[in-house]
Amino acid sequence: MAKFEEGSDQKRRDFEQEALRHIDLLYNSAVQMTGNQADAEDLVQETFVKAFKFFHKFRTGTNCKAWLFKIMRNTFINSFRKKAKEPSKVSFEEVEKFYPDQEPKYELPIDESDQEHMFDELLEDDVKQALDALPLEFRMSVILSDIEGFSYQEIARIMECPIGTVRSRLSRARKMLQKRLHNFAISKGIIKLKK
Amino acid sequence: MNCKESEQYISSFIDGELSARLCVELKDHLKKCRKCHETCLSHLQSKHLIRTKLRFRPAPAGLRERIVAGIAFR
Repeated sequence: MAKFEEGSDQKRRDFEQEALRHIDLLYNSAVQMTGNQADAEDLVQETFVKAFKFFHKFRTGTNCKAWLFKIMRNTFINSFRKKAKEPSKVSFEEVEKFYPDQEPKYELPIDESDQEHMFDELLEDDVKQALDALPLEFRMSVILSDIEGFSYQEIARIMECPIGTVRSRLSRARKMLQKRLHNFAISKGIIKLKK
Repeated sequence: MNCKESEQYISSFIDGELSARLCVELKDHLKKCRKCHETCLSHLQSKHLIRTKLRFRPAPAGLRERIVAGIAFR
């Protein structure tokens, strides 16, 4: 447990040093979670106020960033989810139907390194739209893994689910992202459909 | 390893979350199976795009101060 007393100046100093230094990382992910900067500010502010309230329960020496993300995720679900445009009510089955598993209908470049970079011409907005379209728990998994670099074990703790669920959500999320990005790339003429 | 198992492990593989034994088995399968190899590349593309296209947005000026002010009297 943290070594300070509730309400003390020391607590505030420890909190600023230990927790507030992660503010940029939290805000960056909050923008992706809420979809806009005003809600992201409110979400981060509410997260830190809650974190301060419960800072006596934080164990010094453990992962403060993961602890803050867990609070932010719960705050988002409880307070912000209704406000945000929320595709998470769509069931897995509907998602799978919308993104059927099929062979690519576009031409793959022959060179492998070109394949890895074939969508580089897509814009930030395209990628953001594809991410926003994911169901909430899938989107959270991608944010925590690909943007924040958390391990599967850390993501499982933050999202309060088994590690196998993290694996499965990330795998499905990447499939969905890829299908949507392909569609953007085809509509923009970046890749060509097979004749 | 078959294609069904391979698909299950590809995402963990690119995140460095697969055991050494399964890594060897998966790599062996990917060498032989074009479809799974392409699936692996497409997962890599998704991860690459998320990491490179989404601009990092630091907290706006004043947010930290507002938080500090908000907790000052608690």
